[in-house]
Formats: sequence, structure tokens, C-alpha cells
Amino acid sequence: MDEDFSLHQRLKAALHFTVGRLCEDIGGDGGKRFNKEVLAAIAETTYRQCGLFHSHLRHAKRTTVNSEDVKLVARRSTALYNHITRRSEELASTNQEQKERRKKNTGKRKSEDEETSVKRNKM
Amino acid sequence: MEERTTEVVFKKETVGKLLSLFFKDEKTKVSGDAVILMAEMLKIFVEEAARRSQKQAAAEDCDVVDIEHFEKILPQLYNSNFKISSTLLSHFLPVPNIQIAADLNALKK
Repeated sequence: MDEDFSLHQRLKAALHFTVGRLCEDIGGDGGKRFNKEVLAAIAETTYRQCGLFHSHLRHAKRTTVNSEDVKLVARRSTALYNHITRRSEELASTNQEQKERRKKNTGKRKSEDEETSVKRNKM
Repeated sequence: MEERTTEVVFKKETVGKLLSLFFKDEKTKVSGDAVILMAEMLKIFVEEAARRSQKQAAAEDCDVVDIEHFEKILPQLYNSNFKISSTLLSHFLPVPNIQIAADLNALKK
């Protein structure tokens, strides 16, 4: 139990770090910076938001939560849903590209192996 | 301030570990793509929270964004992109319920 607590704390700290950087950029953009207290509050709320997302995701009937489940969580807002759907499609096409590249390389390797074995046989 | 060359994101590892921790007792796993999308949702959450707070600070003629500005925009934030039921809302927010109820009532008018 203590292990979990310290892991949660470490992950919260990691979230806090990224929240700080995101707000630093926004602070510069909008010409108004965020004080330490509000950064801590936003980080804490983001951590709780993660918990909220989890409570939505756990209703997925499978053992592995996938992109479709995340899209469902986003559907409460049209703008968010569209954005996440687009991102999901980008990821899917990147995965597809990687798969095809791997297939090509495997094919290349196979034919190279065949060449090598043919050469060996000739010797 | 130096220009960032790379986009600030929530690390896949952090979000993945956090979700795994929440899911610990349920033995559920989260796919790689789902973690990336979750990280994206969290980033959007922070950006919205930050920008809305900044606007609130501007409306109050303040130079620095502080916790009061953030607390004021929370109900709007949840009502827009991150709609959740009011019971969950009161369970998770770091502000007293009375304040939330008052804010929500004000929004209804």
C-alpha cells in the first residue's frame, strides 16, 4: 500500500512538471504568468481528471482498453471528440506505415538470405 | 524566454503508469495508442484550464493568474469539454461544494 502511495506521489510530481511547462508556454503566450499555487492546483486537478477518465474507461468490457474506448470518453464534447478522432486516425495510419515497412524489410531479408544460401550452394 | 523546439506533452510512460495504477485491481491493460490519446486529452485539459484562468485574470485586471481565477472557471471547464455528472464533480474538485453549487446556479441563469 505504501509502495502505491509513493508511486502515486512520483507520478503526480511528473504530471506537475509537465503542467508547469505547459503553463509556462501559455503564460508567455497570453502575457500573464501563473503563480506556484495555481500550478499546483491545476496539477492536482489534472491528476484527479486522470482518475475520472479511469472511471469512464473501466466500463470497457475487454481486458485491454483501446483507442475506441478513449474516443467514447471524448464524445461528451464534439470539438474534443473530433480532435481525438483525428489524432487516433493519425496514429492508426502511422502504425500501418510501420507495419508495411517492417514487411518490406522482412521480405528483403528473406530474399537476401536466399541469395546467400544459393551462393553457398554454388561454392 | 527561450523558444521550445519540441512540443510539450505528457510523457507516454507517465500516463501509462498512472492509468495502470488506477486500473491495478482490475487487471485491465491500456493499449499504446490509448495511452497516447489519453495524454492528449490531459494536455487539452490543462491548456483549457490554463487559458480560461488567464482570461478570468484578465477580466479582473490581474497581472498574475492565481488559484482564485482557476477555481472560478472550473465549473465552466467541466460543463464544456469535460462534462461529468454533478455528483462526480463535487467528489473530485478541490473546492467546497457550496461554491460549486453557487457557480452552477449562476451559469443556469
